[in-house]
Amino acid sequence: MNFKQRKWHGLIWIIIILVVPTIMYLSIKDISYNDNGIKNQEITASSESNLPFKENDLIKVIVRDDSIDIIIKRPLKNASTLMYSMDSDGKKRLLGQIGEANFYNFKTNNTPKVIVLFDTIKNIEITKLIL
Amino acid sequence: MSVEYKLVIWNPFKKQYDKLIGLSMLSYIILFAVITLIYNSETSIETLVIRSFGSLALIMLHIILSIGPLSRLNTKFLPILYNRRHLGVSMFIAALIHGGFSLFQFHALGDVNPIYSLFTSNLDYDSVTNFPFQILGFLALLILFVMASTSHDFFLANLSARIWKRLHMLVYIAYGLIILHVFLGAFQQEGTSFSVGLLVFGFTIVAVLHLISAIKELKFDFKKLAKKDNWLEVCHVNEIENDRAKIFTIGKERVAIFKHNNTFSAIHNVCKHQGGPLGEGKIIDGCITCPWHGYQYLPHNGQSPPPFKEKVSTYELKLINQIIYINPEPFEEGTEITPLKCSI
Repeated sequence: MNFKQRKWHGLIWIIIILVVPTIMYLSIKDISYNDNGIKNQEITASSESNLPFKENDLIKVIVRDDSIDIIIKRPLKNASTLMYSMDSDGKKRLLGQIGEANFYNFKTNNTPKVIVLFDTIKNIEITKLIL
Repeated sequence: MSVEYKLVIWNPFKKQYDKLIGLSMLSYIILFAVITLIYNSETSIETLVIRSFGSLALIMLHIILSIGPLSRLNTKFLPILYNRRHLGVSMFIAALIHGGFSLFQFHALGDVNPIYSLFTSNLDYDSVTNFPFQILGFLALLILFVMASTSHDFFLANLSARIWKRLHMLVYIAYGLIILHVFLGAFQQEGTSFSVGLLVFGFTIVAVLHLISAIKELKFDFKKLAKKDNWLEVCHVNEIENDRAKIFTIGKERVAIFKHNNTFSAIHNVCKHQGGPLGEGKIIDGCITCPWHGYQYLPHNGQSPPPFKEKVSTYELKLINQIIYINPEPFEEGTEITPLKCSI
């Protein structure tokens, strides 16, 4: 490369090194990846507890004091799914991503009134469960 | 530059590299499919194709972007650089399969044009979790398409090396778009700590390699030569190995001084083909041979041997007490010079 090309090359890399990690961080800072390999026994234990719960054909939601357990009963056909909660004011709050059929636990500040599973690619509501 | 395209003959090594690329890609796809089906037997064939080819293209892009700085830091990587273009085209094919299947799966089954659907189905540009990440991937794929379709030497010869290089430096923009495509897309929905960590690690490796190589180059650029009258003192005659060169920075540009049959000749260091560092090559069959793709120049006039028409600038040298001096003013490209004779 000649001097001009080396200069441009350096400039592009400085921009990439500054911009890309910033967006990387901002994009995942609020996501807690639930990949601890939760065993089937834990799903059973959670589902057999005496805590109040609501369920439909796809999900079962168990409400705890400061968190909610969510069990996805069968694999979702949707390629990308996010779970939201809604409080009594109708304010939507992202809980996290949903992958395979499994047990999920999300911390909550207040008791949610509605749980919504949302397909982010097709922009459709997969299921809604009123608690 | 030549205006007509001259075919560069393929060599057996190039074909071996191509076979290796093809086999490695096939092995990865098979391995990905087997592992996915073991751990998630519900995965549909479309999802499997999209994910396997997407991840393959991403891995290949990281390898491609590491080859350049690795070759600058260690010449043992030069043979890989020689075949980087085929790796790039193969990566584009993998990315095209990923993009094509995604476009079909998510946008072609409705009643609107898939491209229109891609740009209008999600307009949440102010959202991080729901950002229209597919558009980033589509733009990156467009850049990769332009690069892959102009990667042949025919386009290099007709577009000029300067424009071709500018065009192909867009790969860095494509790389940035692809990283963001994954972080704002797959990692919002299906990421794991492992996959996020792996991509962060890959990005760090590529960025650090480019930084180290840039710092090395920068040091070279600021190394000043001693001036005597209008001549610059270069080095002792024994510092240059036979059929090899030493590179020096004169003003802002680099010059390679080659030693061949006890004569010295200086040419501009940048190859007209793809900007390769001629001074890191060697003299083969009496021709300076670029280490990147084997383009050749004659030491005494900087011209490529017929039928090629590329030519680079030559420089005047003189010898005082076994010390080589160079006139910093270059001659016109392809100007005949008398190589400096030395009795050592």
